[in-house]
Amino acid sequence: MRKNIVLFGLIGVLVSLLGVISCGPDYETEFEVKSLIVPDKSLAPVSFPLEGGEAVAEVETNVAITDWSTSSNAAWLSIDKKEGKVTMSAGNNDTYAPRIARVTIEYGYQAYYINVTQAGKTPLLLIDGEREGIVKSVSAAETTISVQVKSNIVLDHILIPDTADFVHVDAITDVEGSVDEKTVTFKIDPNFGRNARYSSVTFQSSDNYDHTASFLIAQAGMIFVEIPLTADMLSTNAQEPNEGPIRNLLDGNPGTFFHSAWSYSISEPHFFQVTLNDPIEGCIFWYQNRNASGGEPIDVLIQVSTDGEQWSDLTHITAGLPTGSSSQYESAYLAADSPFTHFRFTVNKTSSGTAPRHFSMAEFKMYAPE
Amino acid sequence: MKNSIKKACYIILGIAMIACDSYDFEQEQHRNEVYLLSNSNLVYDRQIADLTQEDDTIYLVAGLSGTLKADRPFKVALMEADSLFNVYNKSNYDIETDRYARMLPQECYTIPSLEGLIPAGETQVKIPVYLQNLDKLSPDSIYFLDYQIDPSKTDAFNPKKNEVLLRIFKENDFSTTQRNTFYNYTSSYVIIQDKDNPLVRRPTSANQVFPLGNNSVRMLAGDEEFGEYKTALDRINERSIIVTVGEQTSKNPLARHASVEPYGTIDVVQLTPFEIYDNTFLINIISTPDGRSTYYKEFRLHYKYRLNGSDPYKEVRAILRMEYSPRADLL
Repeated sequence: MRKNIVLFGLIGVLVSLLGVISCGPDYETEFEVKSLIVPDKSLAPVSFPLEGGEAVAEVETNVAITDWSTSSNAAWLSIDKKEGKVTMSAGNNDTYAPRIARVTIEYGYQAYYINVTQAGKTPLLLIDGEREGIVKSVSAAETTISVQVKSNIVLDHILIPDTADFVHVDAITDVEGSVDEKTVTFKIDPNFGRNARYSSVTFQSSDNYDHTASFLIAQAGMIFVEIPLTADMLSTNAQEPNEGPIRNLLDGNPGTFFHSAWSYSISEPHFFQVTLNDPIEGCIFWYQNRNASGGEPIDVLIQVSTDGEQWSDLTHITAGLPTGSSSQYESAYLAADSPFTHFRFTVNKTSSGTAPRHFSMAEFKMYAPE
Repeated sequence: MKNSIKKACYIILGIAMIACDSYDFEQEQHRNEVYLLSNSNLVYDRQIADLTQEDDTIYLVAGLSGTLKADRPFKVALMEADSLFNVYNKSNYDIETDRYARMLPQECYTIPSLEGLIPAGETQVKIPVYLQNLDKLSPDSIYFLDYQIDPSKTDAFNPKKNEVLLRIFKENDFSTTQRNTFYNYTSSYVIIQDKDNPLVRRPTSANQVFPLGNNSVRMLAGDEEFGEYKTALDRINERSIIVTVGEQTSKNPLARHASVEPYGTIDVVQLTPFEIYDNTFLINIISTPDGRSTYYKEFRLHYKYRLNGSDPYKEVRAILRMEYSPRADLL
């Protein structure tokens, strides 16, 4: 029994010894950790001037030069890999825009990136000597304006907002004796509104879309004067005999009114018309409804004539006419194809029903451009 | 006596152990049968055609069942079929025939041979399907090829896996038909160019992008919506634009020119670059100070559109962004 204890004890010691030996580190094998580091100062963005140049990024590595790589994602930036450094070279930038590139230095999954930029040629784009701030003021009448554009880049885009459809590019002409100047002429439509309106005009070049120049066109509103109307200039096809004589339209008193026929019937829509003393090319009309409800026009045909016989439609208004008591309405400027002396206001529908049906109105005025 | 009992027990135990080792792993446990690789619905939908290549190849895969490699070759021959195709449409769409999946048009594929051989010791053979003209396929429709095993020219086959619907997906660098691809509006504007009622909207929604050709995608214009996709065909046709990605820009190698065209009836006008809305497709790498980078694919667009000729234009300044990983790019 004692012999066995000694035997098993010896075996145990032997096994423990083998275990300890087998777990021992191999101090004889040389482990070399491969690393590649680009120092922070070499990772700073690189900026080349217009003429180009060279820049160097240091690479601290114990990796063989054939085992790490470097690349540029832009054709204009060339890369030269040497032991411990990467040289970046750029030539002259012939464009009018700055350009950018990205250099990658990598070993295995380890990668470093360097952002590189190069300045471009300085673009020149001036309108009447300025890049912005020029304001061209014009009257309400149809007109043209010109600006001198000085530029060393191609002038291929003139931007006018959709909301300023009254401005049109008319002509672009070279300036005699100057290679970098052009005269750009714009046609401005007449402004028939009472309010001034504005449009920015921007010049842009495909050589450098970011370098723009712009100016402002300010067009004054049209000034309108009231056409003096008298009762003998008014007439109607449906005067109501019991109330509302047509002369009330001009008496300046919103408490009185004109009323078309309700005590008898006619087969056509009711209208009133104005015979002007002098021909006009267009007008604004204004009216005020009577101070009671019912009979307000909501569908009106405006016609004009030179002789009172042959009529042509000027506009047909089917929306936006007021129906409230004493409410007022002013039309947009209505331009005719040719001067006219007769103006007809035909009511196709009122708030009370469809023509032929009576209508009423308190006051009426007409305005023409000054 | 005690020793005899012990010995008997050991013998019985030994016999019991040997008795359990009767399983013969060297023997075929199943049948060697040819089958067509598919999922449980008999559809094979694991392959995507790459539109960036002029032609791409996908495969009809015939496998061989069994627990052991076969010691002889197995002939496989396929023939066109339509029964699974018809079942698919009927069971998924019933009377909605306008939503039915379509067979891949003949002009879009070539199969040089419908016959193959599973060599001895192998478990499958791939029958190539060469795909071309995939830009002619609608990204809104489902396309299939339907093939079945030709019983007269094929060795033993599994009758339950003798037909397959091969789903045709396509993808380019920007989108795929295999799943929904969304780009999110970021720093974007929709400006209604109405002088009487000007309005600026700031969309923050997502725009679903569909692949068309090798470098073109379809998306909705501005902040338009197509509503319920199942019934959106007309709305898609009238509200969508095509964005085509072209050459690298001279300014930034990570940016490519992008152009905008109408997809259907929409009136679209591409506008000149404006600030960051420079009509490009950009790989935008945003790095943090600790050296980590986030990668985005971005459409940076400037255009105006209107759905009706009498409407004012809507000007769109859009950045449409999708995050991706360059190391595990799912597109």
